[in-house]
Amino acid sequence: MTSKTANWEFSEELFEEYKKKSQIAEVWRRLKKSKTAMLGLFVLTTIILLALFADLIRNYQSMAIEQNIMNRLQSPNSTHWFGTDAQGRDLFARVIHGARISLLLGFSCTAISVFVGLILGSVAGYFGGKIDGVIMRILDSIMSIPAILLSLAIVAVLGQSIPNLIIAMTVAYVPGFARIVRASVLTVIGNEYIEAAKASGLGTFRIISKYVLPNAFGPIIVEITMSVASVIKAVAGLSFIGLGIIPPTPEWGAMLSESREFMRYNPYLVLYPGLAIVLTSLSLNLLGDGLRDALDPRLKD
Amino acid sequence: MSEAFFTIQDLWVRYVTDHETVYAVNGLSLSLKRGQTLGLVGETGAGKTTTALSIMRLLPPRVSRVDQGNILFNGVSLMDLSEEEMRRVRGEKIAMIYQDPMTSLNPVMTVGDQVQEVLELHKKQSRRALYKRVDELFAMVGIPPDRKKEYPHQFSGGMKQRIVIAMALACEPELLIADEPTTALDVTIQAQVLQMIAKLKDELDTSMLLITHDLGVVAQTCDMVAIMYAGKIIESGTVHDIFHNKDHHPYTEGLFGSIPKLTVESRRLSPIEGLMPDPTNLPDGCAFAGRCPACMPICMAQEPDYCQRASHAIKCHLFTGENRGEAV
Repeated sequence: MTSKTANWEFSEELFEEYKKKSQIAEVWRRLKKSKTAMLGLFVLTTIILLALFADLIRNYQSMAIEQNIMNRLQSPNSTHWFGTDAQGRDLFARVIHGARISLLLGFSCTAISVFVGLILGSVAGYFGGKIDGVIMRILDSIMSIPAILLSLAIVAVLGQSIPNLIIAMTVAYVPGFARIVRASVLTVIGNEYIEAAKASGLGTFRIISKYVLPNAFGPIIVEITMSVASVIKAVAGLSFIGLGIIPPTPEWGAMLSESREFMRYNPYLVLYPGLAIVLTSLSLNLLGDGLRDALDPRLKD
Repeated sequence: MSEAFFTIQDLWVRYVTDHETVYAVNGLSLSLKRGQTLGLVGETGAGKTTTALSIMRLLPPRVSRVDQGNILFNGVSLMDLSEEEMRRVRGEKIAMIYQDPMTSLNPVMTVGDQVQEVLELHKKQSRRALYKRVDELFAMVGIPPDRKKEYPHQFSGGMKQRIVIAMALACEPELLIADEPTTALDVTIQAQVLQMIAKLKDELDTSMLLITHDLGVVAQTCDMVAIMYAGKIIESGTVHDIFHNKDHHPYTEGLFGSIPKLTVESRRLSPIEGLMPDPTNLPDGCAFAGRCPACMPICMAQEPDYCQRASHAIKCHLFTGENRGEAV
């Protein structure tokens, strides 16, 4: 064997070096290499910053809420960058203020459903048998009800508010995530390293969190990035029936459905909120793709 | 020599599915003394891996049934331990090396982290000591410790197997189960890995259960040999008994007949005719009777007992009862 192994000395410098956990730095380094992922990150950050500082850019009350019939249906111009809507409200102000609610709904619903879906799906997939049967049959029965109808019923029962909307959407989205997680877990579970982990005495929680899920994450990340846009669209659907966002609160999906009467002659009314949804979901998709590759050590360099 | 610290007594394991019942292990007994290596030899499907998994209590939970038998480890029955206690035995007291190093490492964790995890789990120690120990383990199996930050796919098969060995030996287990540790490696690496296992085993005073179908490997590394056929041990003894004694079970004769010899010129190898009996439908009498060149009427009807001569035991009618002495 090489002299490198024969005379190995454990030194203070080595200890210092090992102490630095460089996993996140490593993922970031690899993520930076992907131009598309960085583009996605840039667009997403811009949208989030616009939403955070919306009050500084356009006043909420006077620009996005108060009606101003004199200015109605103006095409984009230098004072109203995105034009004005049928009530004479500045569309740019509404888009950036709407970003707050749309992103809040999109991200929180996705985050909660991913969390719950990860737990249910991995437990069902890992243990199998009766536990799997019970969990999946319950989720199947939830899935058999159309998502929009289910959310509608939940909002109708709980009352119309943003937290209730989040609960309603989450219930509708959990089964989809749980199924994908379970399917990915099942492809990983037969691998010998899972059994080797059991044979070295690792507990179930550690095996699921460190051995099963990291190896099953590819399809899950893709589903996450798609789901944010899909939640925003679903909220638009609810707003359309009158159970989502209460007007005049700006929200991208609601803005789309409010504009449908005018879109023939004023197409910019649907263009800008639509573009906002597309850009958000596209940037998430690009970022998600890059992240998946950066997290997989096999694709390194 | 010390007393046996590890014994399997009359172990019976079945796999039950809706379609059939597979009789994988049928009354297997063996024992192992501290520091010894026992080679468990047999062809594919003889129940070797099932035996190993029974020891670890990692048999697939829904389909497997352990009908009978006891596994004693330092006087404690592994069968009676709770799952929690068993987890503390796995990895710390009994470790296992799997057949295929390509698939037995987690592809998304650095190899260093994987070795470290076993240590963290079983041996509480400071971080400094932990990192130091991981480095020592890597150096011990001949891999430069600065490569511990790399991922499994960056290593060759032989190196991966060394990492797996480092993981298995991390807590200095009392018993090491090696399930065909060299089958997936190419021949040039096989010898290296075996030598390394044997050397480390001696240094750490670990006993080993070596599962293999390679008699060459057995001759090289084992103290004791048990030859397994259709879930039973049909012949066992010291390496000397198996390789030098005159009398053998016809199956063992067959195994040796299947190996090319350097000294005898022969055009073809002589394989054992036929296949192992269907484990879902084992015959009465001796399981090997259907393939046995020395088969007698009694072999079909009645299962033979062990014929014990000092350390050498043979389960065959040729050596028991009135047939004694007429043997080949």
